[in-house]
Amino acid sequence: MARSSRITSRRSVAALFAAFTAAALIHATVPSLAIAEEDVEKRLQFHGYGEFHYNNPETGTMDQSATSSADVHRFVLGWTYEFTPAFRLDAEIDYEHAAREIELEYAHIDYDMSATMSLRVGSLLMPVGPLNEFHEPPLFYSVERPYVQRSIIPTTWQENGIGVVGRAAGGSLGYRAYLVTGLNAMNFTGAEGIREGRSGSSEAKAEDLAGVARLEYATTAGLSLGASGYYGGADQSEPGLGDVKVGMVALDARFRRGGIDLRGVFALDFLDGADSVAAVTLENVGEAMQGFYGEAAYDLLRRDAQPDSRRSLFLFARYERFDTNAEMPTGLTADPAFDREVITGGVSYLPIEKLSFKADFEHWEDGTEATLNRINLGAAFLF
Amino acid sequence: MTRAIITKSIHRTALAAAAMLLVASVAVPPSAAGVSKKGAGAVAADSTPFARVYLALRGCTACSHCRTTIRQMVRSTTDGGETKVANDRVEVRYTTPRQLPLRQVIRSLADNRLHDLSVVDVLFEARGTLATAKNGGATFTLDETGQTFPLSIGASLARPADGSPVHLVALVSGWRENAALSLVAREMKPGA
Repeated sequence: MARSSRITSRRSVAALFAAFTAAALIHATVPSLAIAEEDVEKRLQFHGYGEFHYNNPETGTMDQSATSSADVHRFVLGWTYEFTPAFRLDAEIDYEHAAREIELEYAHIDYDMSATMSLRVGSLLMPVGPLNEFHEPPLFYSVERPYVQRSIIPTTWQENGIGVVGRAAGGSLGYRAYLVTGLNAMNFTGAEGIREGRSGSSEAKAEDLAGVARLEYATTAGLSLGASGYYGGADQSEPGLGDVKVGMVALDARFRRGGIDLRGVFALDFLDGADSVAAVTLENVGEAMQGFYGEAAYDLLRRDAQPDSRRSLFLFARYERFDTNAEMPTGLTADPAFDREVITGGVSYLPIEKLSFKADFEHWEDGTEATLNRINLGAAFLF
Repeated sequence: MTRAIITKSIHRTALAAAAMLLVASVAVPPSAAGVSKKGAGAVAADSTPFARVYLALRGCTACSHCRTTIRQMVRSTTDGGETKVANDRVEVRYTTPRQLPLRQVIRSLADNRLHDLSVVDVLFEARGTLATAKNGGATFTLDETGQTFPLSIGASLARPADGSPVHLVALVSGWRENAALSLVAREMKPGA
C-alpha cells in the first residue's frame, strides 16, 4: 500500500512537472504573451461614475415616516486591464451611500474567441432589461432609476457565471448568453419580489444554476429592440422550500430621432413554488410579478443636430406600473399595496454629455389608493 | 485505506492542474481576434503600421459593457484590422497593405442606435503617394492597393512631389453627410 502511494505521489509530481515545463515552453513560444513591461501603463485604464441625490417627499398616506434626505448615492470606480489584445479584466467597485455599502459591481475576464464574440467569466451583470448593464446615471433622465427596473427586473443584478457576448449581422444584432448561479428564494419578499434573492456574487450558493440571455437589434432609423429571458432554480437546496424555479421575460424598445427619445419596457416574472416560499419565509410572495413603463423625452437644445454642441436639455415624462403580487398561489391573497403606479416628470440638463443635473417630481399611488409625492434633485457624472 | 484515498485525490488534483495549465497555455493563440500573426508584443513595438483610423467619440465609453459593444461593433466592419478602445477613442490599425473599409468602419459607430455615443471626428493615417487629379486637385493613393481618396492640402503644408512616398495624417470628411469620403491633410512626412 505504502509503495503504491509513493508511486502515485511520484506520478503526481511528474505530471505537475511535465505540465509546468510544457506550459513554460508554450508561453515562451507564443509571441502574444511576450509583452514589454513598458506597455503595462497603456494596458490599464480607469473609469467611473456616480450620482448625488436630494429626495424631498411630502409625507403622504403611503409613507407616514418619509423624510427629506441628501445622499452620495453611488460612487463607482472601475478599471480595465488588457493582458493581451484578446484577454481583458474588467471590474467595478460601487461605493453606495457614501461608501456605507460597498459592493462588487462586476469583475470578469473576457477572452475574444473571434472578432465579434467573447467568452466571459466571473461576476457578471445580468443582461435583463436595458438598464442592468448600461446604468450610468447620465444615461437616464430621472434622478431615481425607473422602479420597474428595481422591483420586477432587479437592477443592478450580478451573479457569478460564464457565457458569451457577441455581435452579428454587421454589428446591428447583439447577444449575450450566460450560465450563472441561481437566485436564493429564501430572500424573496412580497413588496420587492425576487430582488433580494440576488447573490451579489458574494459566496453565491450554486446548488441551483440559471440561464440568462439577451438579444438586441438596432436599425439605422433610430429604433432599437431588446428581448431578455431568464430561467433557473432558486431553492438552493434550502430545507422546506422544495423545488423552486424562477423565470423572467423582459421586452424593451427605444426610438431616438430628431431630438425625441421614446422608451418602453415590459417585464414579467413567474415563480414556481411560490406557495412553499411564502410558507417558509412568511412573506406574501406572488407567483407572478409584472410591470411596464413608457417614457417620452425631448432635447430642447437638439444636440443631435449640432455636431459641435455638447449640451442637452431634456424634458421627460414617464408612467410606470408594477405589481409584485400580480398572481398569487392558492391560499394567499394579493396585497393591493404592492400594485403601484408612478408618474414622473422633470428635466435633465447635460452641459456636456458626461455630466447631468436633474430635477423631477414623482407621484405614487398604490392599489389601496394611498399616495406619495416626492421632489428629487440630482447630479450625476461618468468618465 | 484513508491514505490511498488521499493519494488518489492528490493524483487527480495534480492531473487536473496539469490539464488546466496546458489548456490555459494553448488558449492564447496568436491568431486571436485583433492580434496579428506577429503577436501583440510585436504589434505594440511596431509604431508605423500601414494605416490607422481613429474615431473620436463622445458619450458613454467608460464601462466594460460600453467598450465591448463599441469594440465588437467596430470589429464587425474592420475586415481584420486590430481594434483598440480607449477613453473617447477607438483606434483601428492595419499592419499590412490592404483595401481599407473606411466608410464601413466609420458607419459602424456613427449610425449606431444601441448606445449613447456619437462620433465627433475621424482621423486617418497611412502610407501612400500623392498625385494630381484631373480637376487639378490632389489624390492620395494607398501603397500597394490602388485605393484612392480626394485630398485637400492647406496652404500651410508643403506639398510633396507627385509619386513620392508620403506618410499622411488627415481628417476624414464627408461621412456626416453620407457623401463621398475625402481627406483633409493635417501632416505629411516624406518617405514610408
